[in-house]
Amino acid sequence: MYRYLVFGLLIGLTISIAGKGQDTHPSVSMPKDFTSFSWEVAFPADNKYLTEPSLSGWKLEYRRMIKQNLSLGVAVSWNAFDETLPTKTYSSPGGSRAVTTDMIRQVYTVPITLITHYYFNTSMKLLQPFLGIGLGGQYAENNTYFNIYQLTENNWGFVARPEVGAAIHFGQNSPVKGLISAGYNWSTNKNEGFDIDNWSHVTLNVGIGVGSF
Amino acid sequence: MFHMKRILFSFSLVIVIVQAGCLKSPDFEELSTNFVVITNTDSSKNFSNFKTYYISDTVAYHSDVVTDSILNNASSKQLVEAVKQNMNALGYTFISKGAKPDLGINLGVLKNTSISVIYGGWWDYWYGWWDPWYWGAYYPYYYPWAYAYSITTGTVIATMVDLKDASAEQQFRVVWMSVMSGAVGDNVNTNVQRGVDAINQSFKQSPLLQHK
Repeated sequence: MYRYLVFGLLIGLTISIAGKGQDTHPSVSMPKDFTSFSWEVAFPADNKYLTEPSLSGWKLEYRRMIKQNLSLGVAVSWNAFDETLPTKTYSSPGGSRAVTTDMIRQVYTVPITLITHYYFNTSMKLLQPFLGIGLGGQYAENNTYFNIYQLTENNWGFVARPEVGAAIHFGQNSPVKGLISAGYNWSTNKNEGFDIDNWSHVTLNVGIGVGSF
Repeated sequence: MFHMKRILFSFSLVIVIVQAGCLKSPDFEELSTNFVVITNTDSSKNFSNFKTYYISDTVAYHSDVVTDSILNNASSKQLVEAVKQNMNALGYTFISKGAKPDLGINLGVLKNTSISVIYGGWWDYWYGWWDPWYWGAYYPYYYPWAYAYSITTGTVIATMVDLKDASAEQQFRVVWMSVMSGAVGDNVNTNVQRGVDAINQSFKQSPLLQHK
């Protein structure tokens, strides 16, 4: 629940910064074409399968400005979740069925999305705040290892990835820009073996990109 | 146009890299070597109606060696003894087979078989396994649940059969079952201890067997 709160606060903060920056000399200074690579940390949200964050994820994206405040593009991300659960007995309601084992659980996600971003007018020299969303498909692989056994489920699902963030300007008209953002990844990927209907995680990104004006 | 091609090439390259090398191999050292224990209990049965049981000192055995059919040694006795201790602790009384016990327990071990998945209960009909004549009639075994188990290296299977109502039901209804499975090594004592631990866990996770 706190992740939703953090995400909401970030949206509020972004709009607040954007509003503050609109006081004087508003402008958007994003390159016409912009390609970036980000380190992506992801925190599983609202699922009973695993809770450990993914620290080894990344995101690659391309944006093209189609209006002064608006860009379109494509993005692909990668996240690897991994958690070892100690020995536990999993019982059915009523106790007629039970399984006892320890296990390693993994989830890999590869969302591939069409993205759009709206950039707020701002007079800030350092930051260019934006709101964005990505819609597309997500490949997910769920692995469960216990003793010598392995359960695997692979599937594709629909994914929606709203995000808030800011581009960081390194200098006037510099084609190189930093990126920071926070987002939410909601998908329809299932894990039928564990009766899971969807998968979601919160993302934090720090990256760098290069563009051309 | 050239720029777009460059972008598409970059994305393609990334996806290839992802497919080829980013899947993380799990750290299997973190997993215990204890057997995975799976139990099913017939929830339609009131186990308080069962007072007595019988289990043979012999354990059915199946491996890649075709002449293997039964185990009757110190190792099998440890497994049988573990079952008896748990049954007695639950309030059941062991009696001889001729004294008409309410429950019969079959214990079997599978090792190094090439079977990947077992459906139904067809192992009951293997030669040397617990065919229905052992319990005095050729009623079919009936399992009140559906299952498929993967059998690869070492597996201990315990099935508890309702003998009390078999004649009326014209079948040997399996009222409880435990499949205990996992890797086995060369050390017999270690393997047997894993089996004993798994039998203890089987009863621990089967609250419906409680003899109230």
